[in-house]
Amino acid sequence: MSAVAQARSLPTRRGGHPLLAFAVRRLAAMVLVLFAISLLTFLIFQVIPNGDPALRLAGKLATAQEIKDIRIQWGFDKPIWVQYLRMMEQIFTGKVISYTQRVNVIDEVGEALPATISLTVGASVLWLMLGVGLGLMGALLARGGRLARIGDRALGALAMTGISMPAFLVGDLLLFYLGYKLRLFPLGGYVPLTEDPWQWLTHMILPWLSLTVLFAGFYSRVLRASILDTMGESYVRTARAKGISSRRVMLAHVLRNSLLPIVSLWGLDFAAVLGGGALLTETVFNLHGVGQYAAESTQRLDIPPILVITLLTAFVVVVLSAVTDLLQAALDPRVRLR
Amino acid sequence: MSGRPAERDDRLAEGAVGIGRPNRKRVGADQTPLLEISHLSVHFPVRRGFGRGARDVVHALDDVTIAVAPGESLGIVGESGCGKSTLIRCAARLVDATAGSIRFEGSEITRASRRALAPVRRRMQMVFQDPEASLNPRRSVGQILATPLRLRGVERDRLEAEAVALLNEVGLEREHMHSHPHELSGGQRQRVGIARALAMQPRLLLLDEPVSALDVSVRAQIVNLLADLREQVAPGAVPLAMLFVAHDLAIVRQVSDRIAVMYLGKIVESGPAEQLCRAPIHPYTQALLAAVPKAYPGAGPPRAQLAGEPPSAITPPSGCRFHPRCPYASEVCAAVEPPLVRYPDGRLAACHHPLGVNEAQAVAAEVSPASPLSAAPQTHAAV
Amino acid sequence: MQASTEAQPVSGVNMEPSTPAQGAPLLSVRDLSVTFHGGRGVVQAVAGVSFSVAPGEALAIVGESGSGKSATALSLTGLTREAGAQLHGSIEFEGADLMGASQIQLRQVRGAGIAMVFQDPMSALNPVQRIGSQIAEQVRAHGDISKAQAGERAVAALQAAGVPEPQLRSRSYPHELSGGMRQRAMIAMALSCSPRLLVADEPTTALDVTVQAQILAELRRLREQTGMAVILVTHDLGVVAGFADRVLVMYAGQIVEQGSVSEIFADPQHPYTWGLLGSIADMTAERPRRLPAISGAPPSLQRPPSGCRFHPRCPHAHEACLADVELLSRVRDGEHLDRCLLEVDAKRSLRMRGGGIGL
Repeated sequence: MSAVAQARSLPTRRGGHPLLAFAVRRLAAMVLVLFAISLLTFLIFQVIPNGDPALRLAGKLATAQEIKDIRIQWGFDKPIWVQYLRMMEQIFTGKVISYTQRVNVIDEVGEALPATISLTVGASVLWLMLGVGLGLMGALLARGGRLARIGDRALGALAMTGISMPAFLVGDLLLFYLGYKLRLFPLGGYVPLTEDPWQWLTHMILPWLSLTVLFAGFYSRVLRASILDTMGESYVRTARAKGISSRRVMLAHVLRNSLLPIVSLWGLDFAAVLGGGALLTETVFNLHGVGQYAAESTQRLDIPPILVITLLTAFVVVVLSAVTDLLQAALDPRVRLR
Repeated sequence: MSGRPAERDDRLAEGAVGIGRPNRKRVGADQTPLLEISHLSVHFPVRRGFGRGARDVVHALDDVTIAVAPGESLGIVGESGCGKSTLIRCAARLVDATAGSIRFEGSEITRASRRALAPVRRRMQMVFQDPEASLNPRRSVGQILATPLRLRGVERDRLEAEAVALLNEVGLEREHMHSHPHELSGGQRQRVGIARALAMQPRLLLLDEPVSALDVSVRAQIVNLLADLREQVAPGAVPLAMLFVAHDLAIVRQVSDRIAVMYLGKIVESGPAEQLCRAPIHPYTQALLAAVPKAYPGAGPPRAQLAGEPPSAITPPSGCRFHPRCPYASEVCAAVEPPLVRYPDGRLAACHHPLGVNEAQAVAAEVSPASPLSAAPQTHAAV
Repeated sequence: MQASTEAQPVSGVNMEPSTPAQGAPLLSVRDLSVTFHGGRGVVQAVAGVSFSVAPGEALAIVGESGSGKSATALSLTGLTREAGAQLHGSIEFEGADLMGASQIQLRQVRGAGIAMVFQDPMSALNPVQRIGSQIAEQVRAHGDISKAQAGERAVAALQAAGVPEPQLRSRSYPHELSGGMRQRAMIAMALSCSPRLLVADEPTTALDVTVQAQILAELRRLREQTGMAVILVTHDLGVVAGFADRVLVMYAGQIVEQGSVSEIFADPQHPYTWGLLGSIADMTAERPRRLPAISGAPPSLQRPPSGCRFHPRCPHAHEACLADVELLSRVRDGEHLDRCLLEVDAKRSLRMRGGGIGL
């Protein structure tokens, strides 16, 4: 008998440290991802029309000779792979220069980051809380009587409205009514937290809200479905049969288990917004964040900042997916780190 | 399988035919086994614990040899984790073999490509345990049956008639054509599962615990249906053979001509169904028999209740794998793996202390070619 | 509904020594009906079921899926109470009415007075919580004790249920245990608050036959040790024989026969019971050419058949079966009830099939 259980149950931890192996695997994966993404982005700008960086650098009034000089000076006449390697070297040594603005891109991104981080952290906490609250409410209503189920439908419609509204529309509406008409909030811009915490807060609230409208609806629907599934699980019936309070059944068994899928979702959305994914929101509120910088650079077909931001996004996504995997493993013993 | 001496191969083939005691009723001159599994092993690597690099190996199947003759029904019985499901999945090539060979209708399919397998899969159809999970919930019974029928080349205008004929064959009606799986009872769903398998007109049905998920009363219906399917073969038609896997000896006895008992990846006993149930040789078979619920109150406590559960297949016990749970185990059992021995009456068992075997039988017994190659042949029949 | 169902608490007099003498029943169910209003219409899962359980008694409720046996068992502690479910009738446990009880009153009964063991312990235990803390959670719900003490009680409960190395196991998660161990853990949890009644809903169905025998033996031992009553819900009459004092046979939401285990096995009155008995394999007898089976499928509970609900599947059905049949004592002793109109003598010859009882 004992042999049975031994092999089946004891989470043996002999050999190399599990977390180390996990970190090594993820690091290797990250290098691969960054390489692939950077190469792809770089190549795309080689083939799109009007993508020639020499034209950007030379400006509109440049002569053919000037363009040719620039091309030689910047090494655009070299083979593509040499150009790629040079670019990568510049990026990782922090010396990469924008083709249109002639400024250091890394510095620019560094300046844009605080705004984006402020946006991401605040909004993600808000949308998670609101999403969980609404999801829980929806699930409870869905299990209730006829009137309650109407309430659930209304919540569902509300969530769908939030999900399907474009980010710029939500932002513009908030700005127009709460900022312009009621003058409750400033009309965009970003004030660093270190400069004036109160101003920082008032400037961030509307952007947070507009992202929350977008994500909370989605999260509430996912969680509602997850909770309803979990409530049908046999172990929830067991929990009820134990004689614990229905509140405890709901929190310790239903909600806790239902949150597992939300965790990874949240990690990836957090990463996406942090990597400049909320460019519409950033632009509407003029936050001068990473997303807005990416949007402007794309308009200028300015390859270096685009590459840098793309790499940043990929990096953040890979790191956060590792973090959410760790979180999942901590929350669910059946999950194995891979 | 590669590199085994030719002589050995010959003995193997002969041995496999020998154990594949054909069904008296149907099989005449055709002595080639339909399905022939020789010294088959399946080992799965598993990551242990928390994302570590080191891997353990689960010995799901270890050197198993069986054969199914045309029209014959072979039952495989054992507790969960004994490898019986792996065996059937391996036969269907849903799981890849680590070593050994699988032959179907005389041709080697152990490493056959997907393309080469396609015609084989038609003649070898699988029925799964949980019909609820193995039937597409969004398709009607008619649609579920139409797919294999079309694959078999049935004309479009004949499809419905053929599907209805199949339904009738498994005891369902035309009205079930438009039902979806969730509208059927568990027994009816399993009938659809069987009809789907039959649609291909297979020569061999692979049944993986087909009645375990059903109520006792419905089990009997399905078991009887399987018996009917084997008996109602039109004259001249291909008889239907079955490989039937279950954990319940009572069910296996009912549907099988022969039974093979498995424990921790090895065959410990095989023989004609009734004989094996009446007078088991291996203590494990005896224990399985004892675990079958009694039909009468006051039938008394089970004869030899088996304690515990099978040990891990990652580190199987030395010698006879059953020895830690065996009431008859002695020192030799822990030290030496017993070979699969063929007794004069044709039964095979791998045990150092065979039950109900007299001295003459023990002396006449010889190591079967089906015996695992790792088992020490010189120690057999240590009565 | 039923005229003379004076279902007295019957203690299996000559069965188990542990059954105490007559007295007030531990549990008394009167005319229980459970109706679910779902997306696919109205389903009456339980249609007027009455029975009682004496202290220390072992009662088996037997039937196919859809017979209402599980709904009956779950309704005892209000686990079927939800939106869209209607419960009627009365349930009394230790003299207290459970049907009208508030959620808070019910909670005190759940786990402490009436504990449950479910079919598949893999899905019936929370996969992300340790076995020990799941047991301790129940212990703490019914007593004002510290976390550490509850943990010790959990380990003791595991030990009592025959789990080896209980200290270690209490730290395990469900998926780290084998099927048999998981079911023992489930039993340990059910017994952790010393219930007077254990309701085991198909406790062995998901397990290997060898482990089934072990779990049943364990339940039998624990019952003798603690003196609790047990309701065993199962589809397999075979597991009932060595376990129960009394048997209820349910079909399509109704009780079709009830009696002591010896009466049910030796002198079954309802053809459905014959069918269930016939489907138990007898390994000592010659293998039959065909297994005796009950033909057809259980009826829809949305539109149950009129009259005797078994008549569409019964080979002995006649015209009288189309009218409602009451659950009555038709055999002389008064405690063996059934819902079949056939003459007792006719039944005794009709049920014989190839040397044994069958349909």
